[in-house]
This record gives sequence, structure tokens and C-alpha cells, in this order.
Amino acid sequence: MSVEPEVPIVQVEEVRENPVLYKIISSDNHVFTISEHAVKLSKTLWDLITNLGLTAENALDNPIPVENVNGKNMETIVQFCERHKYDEEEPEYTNYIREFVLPEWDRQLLSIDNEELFQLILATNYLDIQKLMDYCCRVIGDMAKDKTPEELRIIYGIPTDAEDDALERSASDSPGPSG
Amino acid sequence: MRDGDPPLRLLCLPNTPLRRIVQCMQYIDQFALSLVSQRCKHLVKSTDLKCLDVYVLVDSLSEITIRIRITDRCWIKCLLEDDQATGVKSNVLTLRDGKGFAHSKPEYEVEHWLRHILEMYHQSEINTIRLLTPLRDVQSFRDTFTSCSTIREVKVKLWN
Repeated sequence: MSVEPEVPIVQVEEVRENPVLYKIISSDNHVFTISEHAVKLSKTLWDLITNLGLTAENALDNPIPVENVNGKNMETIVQFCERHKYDEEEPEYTNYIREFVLPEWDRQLLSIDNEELFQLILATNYLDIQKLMDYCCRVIGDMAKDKTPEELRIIYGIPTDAEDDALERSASDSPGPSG
Repeated sequence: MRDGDPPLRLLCLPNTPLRRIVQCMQYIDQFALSLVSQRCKHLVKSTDLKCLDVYVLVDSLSEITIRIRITDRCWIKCLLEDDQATGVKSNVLTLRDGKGFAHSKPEYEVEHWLRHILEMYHQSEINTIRLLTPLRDVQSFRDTFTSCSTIREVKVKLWN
């Protein structure tokens, strides 16, 4: 019978306490606090933090302005990143994203109207948050389920070929910025 | 989409999420999207869809089925029916659950449907054509199926 060595057990939750926090200011001047683990999910923000040389000591005194994202989207993004900050790194979804089932919590979070979803995906693209991007794309992709081409045209606001041609013609007819 | 929601403006999204959205769709939904407009067709094509084979079953020139084997477990079947009023109508189904949609493109003849499918899945030719009944108009058949390399073999099988 082997005897377990007496080593102190460090609870994971204890390690997670007192995280390094960063402040982010949205385009409409809302201030958000986000933990280091969470902010790392955004490649853009983490690169910015690294390049600005922000540390545990000066992070809260140096809020990061994000001019392309409004407060509403930033709130969703911060909630998402805090929720998923300790997720294990997942392999590329490419081969199984069709079969992947979106967790209920995330489905609820992304149950927003089309315009909000559109703006959120632009923000996610700008902040380069791969997981949130995949989840948003999954929600938008699911809208196509069992729909006819005519229904897809309405759901996704897709112009007809004739409308596309007319737009192209009017764009080529209009004078450029130089007049 | 909620009631009264405006459309999502899919084609206004940047390229990266746009292509990702198409990759997230079920195979038959990708195919449906490719039929919405030329821009949609190019979008779906750009996601580099692949299929294993394209088979065609010809009962008569007014009833043709195109089967696309996407994976070993997933097939899409397009039953083309010649409709005098609306042109060639396609009933598109997945063979797994039999779900699908009917769609008419007035400008599409049989060869346009075939070309669309081959383009969509980056296939240069139809793998096999099976004739279920003897043809009355061989020239018209040949004109339609110019992209199939196995017509000669099938013809031999038919008359055996």
C-alpha cells in the first residue's frame, strides 16, 4: 500500500482569487473591468496590453480605449470572456463546427436582435475573439436551417442579381471622391 | 430572427465571419444559399466545399436526379423536373432525413443545374450517369451532359 505524500493542496479557486484587472472604455465612454484571463481571449486587446506594457501595478490606472465597440457590445463581450476564461483550449472547430452544440448559457447570451448580432460580430471580429466569433457565426448559420432560397433572401437581406447589377452600375456611374 | 426583426445583412459582414458562417451551415443549407444570387454562389464557392462524387440518374430527359455524395453519410439529391410554366424545377433533399426544399430558377435548364453543382463542389465532371430508360434524343442528351466522362460506358451498359 503506498502512502500519499503530504503535500499542501492548493485549491484552484484560491489561485484564481485576486486576479489582475484591466479597465476598458467603450466608444460611448462606458468603463468595464475585465480580468487578465478573460482579456487574453481577445487577441487584439491582449496585444494592446502587451505593447502598452501594462502590468498588475499600473493596469487599473491606464484604461484602454476601444473606439470601435460600444458599451452594449462590450458588456456582452466581457460577460462572454469572463464566462469562458478558464475553458480548455479547443482544437480548430473547422471539422466539427456543424455538429457542435452551442451551450445554453451562450445561446441565451446571443439571443439578441439581428442588428445587435450584426454589430456584435463586427466587434468580435475587430477584437479577434475566436471563440465568440465561432459562436456568433454558429447562431447566424443556424438561421438558415431548413429554409428555402427565397426565405434565406429575406432572413439575410440578400439583394437579387438585378439589384446587385443596378447597384454596381450606379456605383460605376457616380463620380469618385476627386469629382 | 424575431418577429419584426430587420434582415441580418449577411453580405455586409467582413469576409472572415462571412465565410465562417457558411462553414457553420448544414450542407443542404449551404446549397440553398448558393441558389439565392450570384454573389451568394461565389461566397459559398469561396468556402472551398468538397464532395466525393456526383452521380446522375436519367429516367427521361424531363426527369433527372443528381446525387451529390458530400461524405459517406451525407448525400444531397436534386430531382429535376421539367415544368413548362416555370422551367426546370429542382426538389432538393438530403437523403439522411428527407428534408429539403423545392426551387425554380427560370433561367436554369438542366445543364445549368449541373454546372451549378459541379462549380459549387469544385468538381470538373460528373462521375457516373445511369440511364434508367432508353433515350429518344441522344444528341440532346449528349449536349446536356458534356461534362461526363463515362457516357460511353453507360451507353454500352444500356444496350447490353
